[in-house]
Amino acid sequence: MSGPNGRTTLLRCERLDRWFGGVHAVDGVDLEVATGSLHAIIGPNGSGKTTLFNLITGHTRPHGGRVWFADRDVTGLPYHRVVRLGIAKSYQITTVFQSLSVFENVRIAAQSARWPYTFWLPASRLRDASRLAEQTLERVGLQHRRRELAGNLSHGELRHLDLAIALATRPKLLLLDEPTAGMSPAETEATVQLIQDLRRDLTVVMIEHKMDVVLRIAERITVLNFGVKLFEGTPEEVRGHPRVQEVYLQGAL
Amino acid sequence: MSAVEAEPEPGSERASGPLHLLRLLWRGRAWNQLVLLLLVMVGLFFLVPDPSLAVEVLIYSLWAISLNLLLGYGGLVSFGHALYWGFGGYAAGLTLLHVTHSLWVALGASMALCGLLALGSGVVCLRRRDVYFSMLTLAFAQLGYFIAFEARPVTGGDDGLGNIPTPPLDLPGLSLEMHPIRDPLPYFLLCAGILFFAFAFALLYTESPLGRVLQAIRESEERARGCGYNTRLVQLITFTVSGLLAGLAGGLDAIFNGLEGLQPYWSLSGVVVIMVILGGRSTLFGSVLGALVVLVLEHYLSISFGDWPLIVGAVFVVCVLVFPQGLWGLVRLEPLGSWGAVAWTRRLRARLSREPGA
Repeated sequence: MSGPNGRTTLLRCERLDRWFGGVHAVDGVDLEVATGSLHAIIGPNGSGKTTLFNLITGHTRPHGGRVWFADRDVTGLPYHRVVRLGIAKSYQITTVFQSLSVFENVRIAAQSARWPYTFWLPASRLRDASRLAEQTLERVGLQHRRRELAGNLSHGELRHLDLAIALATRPKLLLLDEPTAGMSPAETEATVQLIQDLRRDLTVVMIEHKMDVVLRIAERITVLNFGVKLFEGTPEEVRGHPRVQEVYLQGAL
Repeated sequence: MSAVEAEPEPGSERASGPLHLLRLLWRGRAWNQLVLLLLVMVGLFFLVPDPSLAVEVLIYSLWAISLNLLLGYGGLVSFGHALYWGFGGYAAGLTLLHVTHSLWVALGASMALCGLLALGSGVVCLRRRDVYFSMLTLAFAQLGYFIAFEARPVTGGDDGLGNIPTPPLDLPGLSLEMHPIRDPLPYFLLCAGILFFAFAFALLYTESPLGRVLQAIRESEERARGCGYNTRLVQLITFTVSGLLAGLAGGLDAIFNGLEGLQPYWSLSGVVVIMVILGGRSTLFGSVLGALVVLVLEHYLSISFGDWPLIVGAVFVVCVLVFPQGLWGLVRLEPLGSWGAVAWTRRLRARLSREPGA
């Protein structure tokens, strides 16, 4: 398959539909994400961004439409199987294993590829998983905190740990749900650097509210409003689009 | 938490010198709990005047450990663990009465029956979380209780299944007659051996990739699924292993007493829950401690004081309020600050980890 820019398509959503009671949360959304791209999804609160993520990861079953990942139909697969196929998600509300050490948090994610349900040898023997965990911690800059309990980290550190856990499953596609939420300008800048670094070997789809971040690093932007795809294009096109400005960008530019 | 302690300290891999052995032991790996267990066994052997009390402590420790896998490591509070204890007893008793005179076959039957029972009930119970899970385990235990009550021709109903013959202890090249009442020593050694191996297995289980995922699910099931794990499967495997070990303990108890009595499973399940929480949920060894304290209190208080459960209950309340980590937390003496055992061992550890000659 080929998508925008002539690259292969990694993720394709076809006419996804999801209702919650009387609310059409996601209304016939099409989405194509090219391999190696950084794709941002923006929209006002309640426009269906997180629901769209949940439809992709299998948290929520779509009422209509299909999800294709790497030419494979993954519609309705349970979350853990989708993760195994190579989609990882970082959480909007940081979710880590509080009473385990930082290292252990990442190591548990790292061992899932090869040793998911082993109980006949100690986990500390899994050298490859430990090495991957070390590398991942180094990548997000938490190496020095590896022995700390995850519950003792600061907010910014927790966001990075959250990301490290997602990365340690060695995904092909990373879904980031508001990666810079609640961060100071300095922390935001560090996270932006990190995301740009990740792009070297990953495809990233991110939900983000900070427009300056989105316009700076995204290659393509999808704008959602009331569950409907309003527009999709490059940052320049989004910036110049009158209806996008009308519903979303007022005051942000 | 053992997960933190188990991680080796960087840089101290190739330590040498006279303190090497001590250092290895002190590294805080979960395995030194096995040493503590051996110490308790030796203590039971020499210090407890009543041998049948010593044997009961070993058997109840095994039962408490099986529950701790679920309750402490999995965060799954089962109020129906007596079901596997009781039916393990029936399986062993009926095998010895009607099928064969082999100890190992009888215990194997206990484990097999209870493993299957736990697998079946686990599939249903694990469909719910938290208190609903607890209620379902309780419901299954009550179901089992009434089945045992009604099936009088098989189980003896509320008279219990009596006259279970004591099998000889068959080991390679050795066959030992056992008389639990007249000479409890062989049975003590048997139980100690089984407890030791079961404890080592449980330790390995909690330190294994699967055991670590189990603890991760306790912290956040959502995130564990996000790491690619079928969390329901991990919990079901643990539920089965736990039921299987509880069945083994129940089988040992029935053979020891020559009787599988029937008492309401909900109160019996409560006893083992108290042992685990009193001892401390965060370590397997805590469960041994809990079983030891509850049984010793019961043994000595019941001689002099009719309402002994009152005192056990009071001890339990105080422990939960003052030491949320259970008696294991008391042993670590954390509330005593810099005078406590933890601070003391930390200083010792700092001294030990200093490189020799550096």
